[in-house]
Amino acid sequence: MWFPIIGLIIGILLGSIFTFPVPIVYAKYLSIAVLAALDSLLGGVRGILEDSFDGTILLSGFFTNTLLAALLAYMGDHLGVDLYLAAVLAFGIRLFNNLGFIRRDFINRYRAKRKIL
Amino acid sequence: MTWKRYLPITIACIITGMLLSSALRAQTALENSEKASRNQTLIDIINSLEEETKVLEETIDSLRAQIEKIQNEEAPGQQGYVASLQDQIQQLKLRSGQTNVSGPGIIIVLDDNTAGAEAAKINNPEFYNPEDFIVHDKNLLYLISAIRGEAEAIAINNQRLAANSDIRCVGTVIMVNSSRLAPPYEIKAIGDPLRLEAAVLNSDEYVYLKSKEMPVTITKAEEISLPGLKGLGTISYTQPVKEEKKEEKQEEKGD
Repeated sequence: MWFPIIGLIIGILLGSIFTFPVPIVYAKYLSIAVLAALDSLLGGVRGILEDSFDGTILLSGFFTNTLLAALLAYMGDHLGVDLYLAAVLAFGIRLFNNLGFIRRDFINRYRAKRKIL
Repeated sequence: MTWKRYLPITIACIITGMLLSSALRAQTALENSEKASRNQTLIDIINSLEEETKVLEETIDSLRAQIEKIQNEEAPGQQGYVASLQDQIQQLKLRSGQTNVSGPGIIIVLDDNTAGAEAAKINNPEFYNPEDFIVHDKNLLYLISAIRGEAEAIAINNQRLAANSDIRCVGTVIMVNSSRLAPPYEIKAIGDPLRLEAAVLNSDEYVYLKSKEMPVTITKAEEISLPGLKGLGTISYTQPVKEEKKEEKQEEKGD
């Protein structure tokens, strides 16, 4: 149960210790990628809580979403359209949706436990 | 078996963490570089321009020394004429403020009211305005105006004032002769010390500064030395009006 959280902490530590230098020009795309990754993660957590979790789907979604989001933002910058806004909006909405489901799942679990006791 | 179940999401978490921290660092680096680069270019420009000014002033000095040398080489057979010309040049230089001068006069020292600012900051911070406690360009300008009639030569922080000298406010510093000055401001004026002192004491600006409790001190001195003006603009547009034309114009006005 605690593996994901420990993993997140390890990741942050790794990221702060091993500084793989990101050119400043790509800072914006990196931020979008982070948003996409967070979205995938929350989706995964929701999957675990709802017992519909599939590791392959999560990982594939994680990578494609992250890359696509960064790519979309990059393309938008070169086409002169703020495509990154589309990514921010889509991932933002999904993030909050997933968060809502996760909250509900937790509350339901808690209530179920109390009923059993 | 549970750890295998959580393996994919753990991997995703690790990667997200790495992305997150590097994105954070990239963003802060971006902000810092934006601020730093904008300021840095401006600072570089200022420094290089000041450097240039210094070099140019040195050139002026050396050229003047050359001119002086040539002027002092007396032409044979015309000694009296050359000597009188040299006298004239010396007089003109003295009048235009190009020579180092010394003589009796007064020294006015004007500083920011830091004590008052501290007190105001503590006592009523909502009404505290740092502008009220610092020396402005106008304070200097009005003080100079008060003594200009009596003084034969004036300098602020060793910047000699001449006909084309400026006293300006640029941001938080006062510029005189386009050089940056820092408080305390020391106005040195050569002239009759008593009359100069009276001129300052009777000026509105002095009364105003005293009423604001700005630290102003006036001291009379037997011997003050002022530097000459470093750069003097050339006169390229102004031409002396010929006497005949002047009369004509006056006549026209009379009509």
